[in-house]
Amino acid sequence: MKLTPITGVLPLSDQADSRVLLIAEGFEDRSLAWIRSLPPEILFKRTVIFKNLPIRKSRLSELVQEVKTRSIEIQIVDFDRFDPVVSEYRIESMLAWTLESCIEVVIDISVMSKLLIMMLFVMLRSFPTRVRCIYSEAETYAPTEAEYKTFCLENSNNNPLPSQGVHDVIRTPLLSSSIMQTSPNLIIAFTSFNEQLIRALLSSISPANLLLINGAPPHLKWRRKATQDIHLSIIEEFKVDNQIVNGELERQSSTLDYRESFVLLSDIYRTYSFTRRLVLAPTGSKMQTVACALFKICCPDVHVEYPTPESFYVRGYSGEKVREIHQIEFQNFARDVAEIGFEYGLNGDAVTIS
Amino acid sequence: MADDLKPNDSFIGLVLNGYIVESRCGKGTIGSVYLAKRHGDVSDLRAIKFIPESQRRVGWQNEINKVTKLGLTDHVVPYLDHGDVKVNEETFQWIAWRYIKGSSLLALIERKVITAPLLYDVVRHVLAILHGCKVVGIQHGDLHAGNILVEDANPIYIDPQKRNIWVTDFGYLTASMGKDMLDDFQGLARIIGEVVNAIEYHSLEGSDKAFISNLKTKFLKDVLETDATQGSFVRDPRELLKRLDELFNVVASSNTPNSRSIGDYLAAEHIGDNYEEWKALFVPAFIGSDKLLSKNICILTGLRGCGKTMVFRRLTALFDLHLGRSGVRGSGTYTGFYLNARSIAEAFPWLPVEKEAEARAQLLNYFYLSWTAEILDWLSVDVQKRNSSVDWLIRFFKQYYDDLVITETNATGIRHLKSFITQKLEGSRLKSSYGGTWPLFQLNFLDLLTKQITANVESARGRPYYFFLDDYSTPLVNETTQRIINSVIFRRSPDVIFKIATENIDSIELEGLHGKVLQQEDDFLLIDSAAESIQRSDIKNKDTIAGILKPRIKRESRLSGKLFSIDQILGKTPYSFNNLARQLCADPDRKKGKVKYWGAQVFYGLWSSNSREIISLFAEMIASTSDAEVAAFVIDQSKPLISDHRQDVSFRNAGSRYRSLLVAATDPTKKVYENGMSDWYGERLQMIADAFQEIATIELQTKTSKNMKANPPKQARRIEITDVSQSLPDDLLSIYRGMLRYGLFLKDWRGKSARGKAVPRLYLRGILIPYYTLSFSKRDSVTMEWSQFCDFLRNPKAVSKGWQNTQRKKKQLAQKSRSGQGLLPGII
Repeated sequence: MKLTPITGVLPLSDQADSRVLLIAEGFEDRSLAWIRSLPPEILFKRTVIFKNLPIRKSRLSELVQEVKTRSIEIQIVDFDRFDPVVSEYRIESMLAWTLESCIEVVIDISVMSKLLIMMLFVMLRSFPTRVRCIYSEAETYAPTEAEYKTFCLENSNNNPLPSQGVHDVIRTPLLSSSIMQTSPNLIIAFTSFNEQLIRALLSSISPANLLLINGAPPHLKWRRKATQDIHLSIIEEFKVDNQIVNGELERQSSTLDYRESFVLLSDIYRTYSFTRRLVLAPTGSKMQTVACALFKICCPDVHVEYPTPESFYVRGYSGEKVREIHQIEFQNFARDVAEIGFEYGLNGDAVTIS
Repeated sequence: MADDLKPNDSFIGLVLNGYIVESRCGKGTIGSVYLAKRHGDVSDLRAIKFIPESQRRVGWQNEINKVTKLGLTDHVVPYLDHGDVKVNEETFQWIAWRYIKGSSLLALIERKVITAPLLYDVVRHVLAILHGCKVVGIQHGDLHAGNILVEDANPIYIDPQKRNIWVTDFGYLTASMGKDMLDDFQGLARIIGEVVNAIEYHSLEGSDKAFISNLKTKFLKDVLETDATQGSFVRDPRELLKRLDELFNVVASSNTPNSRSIGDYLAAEHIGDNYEEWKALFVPAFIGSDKLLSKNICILTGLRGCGKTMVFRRLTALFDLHLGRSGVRGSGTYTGFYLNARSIAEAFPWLPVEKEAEARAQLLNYFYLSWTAEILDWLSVDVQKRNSSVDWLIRFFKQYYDDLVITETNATGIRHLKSFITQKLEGSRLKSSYGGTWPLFQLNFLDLLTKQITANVESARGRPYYFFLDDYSTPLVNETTQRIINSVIFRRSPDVIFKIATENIDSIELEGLHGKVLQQEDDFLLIDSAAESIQRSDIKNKDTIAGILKPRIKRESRLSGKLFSIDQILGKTPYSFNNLARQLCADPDRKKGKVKYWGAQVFYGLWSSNSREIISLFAEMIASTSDAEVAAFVIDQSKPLISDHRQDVSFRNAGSRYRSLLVAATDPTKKVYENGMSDWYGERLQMIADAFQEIATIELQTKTSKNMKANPPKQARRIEITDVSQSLPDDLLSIYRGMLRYGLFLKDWRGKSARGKAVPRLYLRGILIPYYTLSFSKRDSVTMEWSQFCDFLRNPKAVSKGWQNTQRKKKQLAQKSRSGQGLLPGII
């Protein structure tokens, strides 16, 4: 099975001269957790730090400091979320030479934008060597349970959450597809605490179907019910596509174990790809986004739309404490992903995995 | 496929039974093939294979005998002659076959010019030949992609664009020889595998994708069945052919479950290709239908959910073929096609102004391909119905694409073309940069294509073509993209006429070719659904709403399929709007429940062309009733199904909901929440709505309506701006556009478009009236001078406050005047 399980972080081997690190700046402690856990010695030939534009609160200088002791070269690259197409083009060109003669890429997605996660993985689709994905899981995430309850009380007047507007929904050449454009759209989206995201999508596309995947966090269990409740009006609107079984949305996947999301996405693809244009919105967790990226590589006909509105109600960062650092490792990324596509019947073949 | 003449080739120049060997065509494992010609009084061509005697195998005659046994079986390359010849002291056996000018399937696989329908044709022909083989008891024995020929198109054929498929090079081995021979079914399976691998699965449309998947997961197993006790296809080409046809013609259907309630399918997109539901739900009477179907370029604007998409899609020729004429006056006088401009925006997500010139050819090429795909969808149904050839269409596209390989010219030919166009579409969207050569780029491509259609499709003769382009709105389709596309869609043509739908006239960049400013009436007709809904009589609006809801009420399973009227379900509103206004004046504190908004008349008043919102509200009210209430109502309709209280709550909540949703509105010109002022964009719109309500309420309570005998309270539902002469400043223009874009106010102008300028009359959206406890009457205005209106947009709260103060002072003065305290006569 090529859909490799999540493990704890494994030590890096002695190949510093051919290893590249891709990491993003952030404000949370999580942005530094993994790099600080590494021994203070040269481990990377080159490190690319993605800097957010427009500028956000960040601990870039601390990150640079940490990277300096562990990487021969450092390159700081802008990622402009308001001009993602240009960023995509520049990053793809930059990666082409950065990864030359490199035999391992490490991506720390802990505080990385989901759009950037999608882009980087898809850019690596033909990369024939090792890819290691690092994720530092926080002890707590915004909002806390108490904050959420307050929010519910304040909004108990039964008004639905805001949904009007010409929202900004991003699409880029790398993540787009023109296939099946004359067929009805089917949106696949993930629930979250940002009540704006899916509404934004719906204000941009009128789909024939909307399939929601609820996030099931491994630790903060209350969040599963909360994210479902936040999307109740949408679930009701598309109730034929989103069955509630025993009070829970039928379709759900772990916010951590990316494999659950991938399996669900594959099932959806095999069921609907002949009659629907699949539009994927990576609106869930970062690890769910990794699943989305792998899925997009396996199914280039899937069109990705990324809604950007920020929540009006739930803001803030994840907690300071890091619960655990996780890793996913692909020995030969291009080959492994191709095999995953085959195993899950995403090329029109029969599924070969039970 | 003749190679160039090779002067040192000893075979060239040989004369065999009157045929002169002229060029080499190809090379096999044990010999080479040459083209030979006969000149003189009888001219002819043949392909001659030369095999060195040293490599001649025992049983070589079988190759010929197999073919002769098959006799005149279609698509088997016929045997002509054979013999021996000495060349450079070496003896060669030669066998002459009919010369087929074309390419081998292997070459096409290598060139990646393979499509799913081509594979279907190949397998179909091979199976037909294997059937013949089975009957005469032979096997091809060497079936592979190199032995399948795809003949070039030939003008002498009745289907000159059709490329015939031939099978050649039968193996010399037979089963009785006891040697290992390539099994034909394994050979066929291998060919399928090779072709399938050469096709990029993820670039296929649904039907092709389903076909290829079925080949992989089902058909290959069927082909390789050997155990008659287990399978039903075991080496039976006839059964396999049936199976192949079944898999190829699987209709990709949406399988949408049939639900039966009023609120089903609130958007046209939800109905998808469920034609039965289209038939049930489409209402042929809609605002501006006469104008829309006139032979003019039209822009149709309207609020989100006003039914633009439903109208546009239903007016197409494809829908007419599936459902018959739409019933709209003017249908049947044109041939219509539909495209959502979103497709273009998705294919070109980045197009800055400086790339306009560079991107023009690529974008228009894509635009034309998109329309072509739509046209092919229509033609595929039309051709199937008429069982006609599309040779003419293939010829047309061959002018642009020399890599177009088509092996059928009937309905399957359309599928060939569709597969090809799909690949071209994906290949011509923006990948990383603009540039390249784009064959369809020319301004009149659609004229050329439709000219061909007119000449060859009877149902389209003598009619213009209407191209319904939906969702053509900024920021989704940005200004640069629009400027490029405008050069085509606003181009005057007698036969190619565009109908464009957008949310608001301000969401179109009105600039045509060479920067020409596009003018309403001169360059296009404008149909503004929202404005029309304001201008039309209440009776007409009532008919429209009743027409929309009628089929929905009929399908509601809880109402047992009976056709109840809105008047029956909601009851008749027991007051006129003047009386409503009087009640509101008598209840200045607006205590909930005292003044109730209910009844059919109120319901009709909520409509401002926002049909989806109204259907949804109506469905919500029906859903809120208990089964017992519905059962009682079905028997006795003396009381409305929905109580006055429940209606009142629902109507007010609908306004409240709309208002709360406004907070998330973004600046349509910038796509950001911030508005550059101190508050958020959506909040500013909310403030404007609230301030208008405060002002209108003051007017209601303090003034009377003019020009009316009954002297009712002033029911100001609109803003009337005097002295509109200047353009709005940039900071206010975006707010003003948002007010219209999100339908907070509906503009009422009957003259030409006024870009950048406010229009004199703005009506409050109907759904907000109960929430703001105002009257639906459209008679009265809140009059503002130009500068005051600008202040109102800039600081709505302050203007409202000022308005209140002014009225309060006036009231005090009036009271003083009435009591005669210290005022000179005539001061008020």
